[in-house]
Amino acid sequence: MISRTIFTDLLIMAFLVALQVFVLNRITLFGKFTPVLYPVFVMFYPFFRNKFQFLALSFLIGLSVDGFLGTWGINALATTVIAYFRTLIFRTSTDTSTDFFSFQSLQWMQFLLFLFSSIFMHQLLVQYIEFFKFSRIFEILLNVLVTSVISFIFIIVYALIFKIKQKV
Amino acid sequence: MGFLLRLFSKNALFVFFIFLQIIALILIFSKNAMQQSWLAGQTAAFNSWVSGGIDEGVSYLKLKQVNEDLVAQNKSLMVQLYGKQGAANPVFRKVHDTLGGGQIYTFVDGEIVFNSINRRNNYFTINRGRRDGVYPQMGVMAPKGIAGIVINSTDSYALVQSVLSVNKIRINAALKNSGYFGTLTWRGDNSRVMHLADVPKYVSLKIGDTIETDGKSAIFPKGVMIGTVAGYSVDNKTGFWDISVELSEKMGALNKVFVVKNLKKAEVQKIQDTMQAVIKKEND
Repeated sequence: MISRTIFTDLLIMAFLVALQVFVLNRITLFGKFTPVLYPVFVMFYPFFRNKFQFLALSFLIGLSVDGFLGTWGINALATTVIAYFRTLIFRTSTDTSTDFFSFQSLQWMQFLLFLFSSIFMHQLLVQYIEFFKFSRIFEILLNVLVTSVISFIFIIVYALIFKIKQKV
Repeated sequence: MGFLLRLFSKNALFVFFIFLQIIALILIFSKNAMQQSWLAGQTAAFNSWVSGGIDEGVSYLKLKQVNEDLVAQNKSLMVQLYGKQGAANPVFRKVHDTLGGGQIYTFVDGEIVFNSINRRNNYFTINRGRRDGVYPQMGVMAPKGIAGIVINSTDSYALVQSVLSVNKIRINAALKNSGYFGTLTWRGDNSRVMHLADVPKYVSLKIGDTIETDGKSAIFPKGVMIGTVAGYSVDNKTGFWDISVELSEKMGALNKVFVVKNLKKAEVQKIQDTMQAVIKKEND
């Protein structure tokens, strides 16, 4: 396994952004729901590395997606939020208070809970900021839920393909 | 300063996170149409809130002045309302003659003290008399139409022949639309309806046409409302229209009237007297 450096990080980011923008955003399931996969970069980023670099890269990947979609700043904000609170989400979904973070030590259910919480939070932020209408609050919530579920399935597939749970 | 530095170094990650979020928020509110319009709306609302508050404060400071103004206004209104109960001094109203020939009519306001509508010849009495310049042969108008002609006056009262009089009243009236005039009389049956005769048959009529005074009698000014056409038929005896006119003024509910004073009456009378003299000479 190639060890991860800033260079490989950038490559992975480029791959994920391209996948998101050119493939997944052209898929519209049930008429209007688009799967969102690129936050896996934030979720599966190795623990115990430079946290500033992690935050900056998260911001950057969100901003890249924003640039392609024309939603300046919205995905960047949401991605940075889940990056900053990743350890908190991790602790919450595993009910351990240790500082030892690894997916290998997790049960599958806890792993899935972590994934779903992250993507749900991400979508909640993205869609509420994007629509920006309090009058449509329930409509947007439904949209967030469905999009999260669909994205969740894609994320699991991604995790299985790259054997994330065994490696990270 | 040292405290700030320590705070920064301790929470550097958090500060960095906030820094990134601020960049994202700036991007969101500067590049996205929806958020931009929201921001513009909020800014406008805040502006109007602040300036509204300032306005309110200023108007509160002005309340004393406003109050004094209102008291002064109330006082003058009360003088108008209660100050001239009974037969106080009349108010003369000016009518501006558009021909520029100077003023022809003035008006004396008065109130009815006695009224009748159910006889063949009806009369009413008003609380203005010679002292107020009210003399016989002056017209009397109500707010919505003509009411009668003064036939006698004492120092402070005047007797008025109501338009509801069978033989005594003949008023020159005209159709407002076409300008054709005729003679308005009452037949003694309905206190709301008078009859207009002497209008030629070829004049086209419509229910609801306005009838007004035509100003040829020197008693009423031209163009005072009388009523509207309520029905019409051809009078077989004369071959003219017989038009029923519904009076716009309810004679039974008359209260406030205006006496018409023609300032040029003497002059008109003089020139008409010379006409009489000419006719007399021709006959001789």
